[in-house]
Amino acid sequence: MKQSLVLRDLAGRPVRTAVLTVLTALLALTVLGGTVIVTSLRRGLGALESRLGADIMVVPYEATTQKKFENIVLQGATGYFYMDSARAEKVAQCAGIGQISPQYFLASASSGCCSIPVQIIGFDPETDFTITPWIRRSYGGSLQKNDIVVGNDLNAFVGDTLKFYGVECRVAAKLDRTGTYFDTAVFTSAETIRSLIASSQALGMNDFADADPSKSVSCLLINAAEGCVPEEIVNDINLHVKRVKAIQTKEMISGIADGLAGVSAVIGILIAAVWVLGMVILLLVFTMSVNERKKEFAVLRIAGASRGMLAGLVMKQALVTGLLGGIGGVLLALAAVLPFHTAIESRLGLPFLLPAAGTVVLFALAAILLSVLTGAAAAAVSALRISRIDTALILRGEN
Amino acid sequence: MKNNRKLLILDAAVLLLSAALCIGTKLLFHACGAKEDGGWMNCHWAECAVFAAGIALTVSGLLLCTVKGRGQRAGIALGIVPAALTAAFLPQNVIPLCMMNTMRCHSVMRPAVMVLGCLIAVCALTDNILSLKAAKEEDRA
Repeated sequence: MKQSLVLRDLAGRPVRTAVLTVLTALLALTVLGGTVIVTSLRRGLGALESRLGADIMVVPYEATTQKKFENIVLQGATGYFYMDSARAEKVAQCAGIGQISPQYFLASASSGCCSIPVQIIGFDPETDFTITPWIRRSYGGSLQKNDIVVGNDLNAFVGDTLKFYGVECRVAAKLDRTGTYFDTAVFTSAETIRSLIASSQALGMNDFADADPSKSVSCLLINAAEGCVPEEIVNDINLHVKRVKAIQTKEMISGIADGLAGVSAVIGILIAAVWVLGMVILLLVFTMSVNERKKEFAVLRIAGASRGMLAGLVMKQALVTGLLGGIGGVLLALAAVLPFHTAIESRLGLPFLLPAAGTVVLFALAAILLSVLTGAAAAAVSALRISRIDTALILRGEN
Repeated sequence: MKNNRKLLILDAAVLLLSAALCIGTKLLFHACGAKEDGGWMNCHWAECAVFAAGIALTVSGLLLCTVKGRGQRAGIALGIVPAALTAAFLPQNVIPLCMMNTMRCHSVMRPAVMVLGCLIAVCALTDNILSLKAAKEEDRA
């Protein structure tokens, strides 16, 4: 009976009910949307850190002057640069190096159906310590000649054949999603990428100047030996090996970390602003609604409703609108963030890895709970006031 | 009376969402552009198919708004459900899209078509249930 009174009252005032529901929906939408985006950015940065997996990167000095350098290394922009193996051998002789492995970059002219080029990254399976452990999660075997491993965002599957510069390559494995540029890259062994580089040179499709594919590398990834400080190795390489630049990977991702901190701060401020504004509006709506319904509540008192029942009526209405709005806001947030996560990632230009489904469900439940609690907190003041009304005064029109 | 208002809102929602699917596919969440050589990628044909499905859905939405018979309305609404779901799953599931999931057809067109298609299906299904209810009530009366 009491419940039907609550629902009837809500249905009888559709505009007020709609305003309360939309406001709580807005709160749930901003909280869930903002939380999922910030969490995804943090997971993306974590994934990028672990995927880089090396203390130091050594690249040809000329590459660092290119505008696209950081985009190639960190954002997966297509491009290439090479240095001859002699420079790499000199770097390998520096003290304090624990692990060292070369990588080779090549941008495809086209891939499969589409005109968008993909970045091809070659690695030496014998010395590699950054890509191989990650490939092993999806592929147990060893890569044969012309075998490739594709990132998760590429629309190619195990067994498919992709043609790069006239060379047919078999997809041996597809990697798990990382939220980083690795998701759109193609990985292959040094042997295969050398043949691709040679093929692109033969076709005249890339300008590598006089680079000899068999005697060139794009970069060297280095891990410091135990007890050695990466800064010292970086200084040693930059001082003693000409025409190369050693960079600490920590420094390279500091720009991305700064960007992430900026985006997180903006989202945090937005959530707080919407929350405060929503809370104030909810307070006002409940206060005005209770004020205009004073006589109605006084009549209910005369009909036998206790003070507690009146307060309960206001609270229950707040809980129902909070729950409806919370569920609506959560559904909207999920419909906006989950299907469009790739578009959000592209627009932000930062690594983006969605949380696991269980975590998203937990966030959604927390957002609904927060909306319900906020609605209840805003209604509590009005419920307290209504429980103290003087029926006689109100009905005489003196209050 | 209340049912009538709800049906009116649902009819309008189906019509507007179908029109949004139709127009949006060409203007807002279109597929990738033409290749440098002027040719089209696969996703262009998916865009055309969704546009055609959007036209059919918009016409069905118009019928839903104009037909008065409860039973006929329920039938039209029920027919919209599979048509909308087919439109939602046309990109990639029926017509493959481009190579990279980061490309416009994957990141913008596909999710937008899926969300709109599913919304149309949900509205049409609710419309069908309410129309059937109203038809039964009319029969009883």
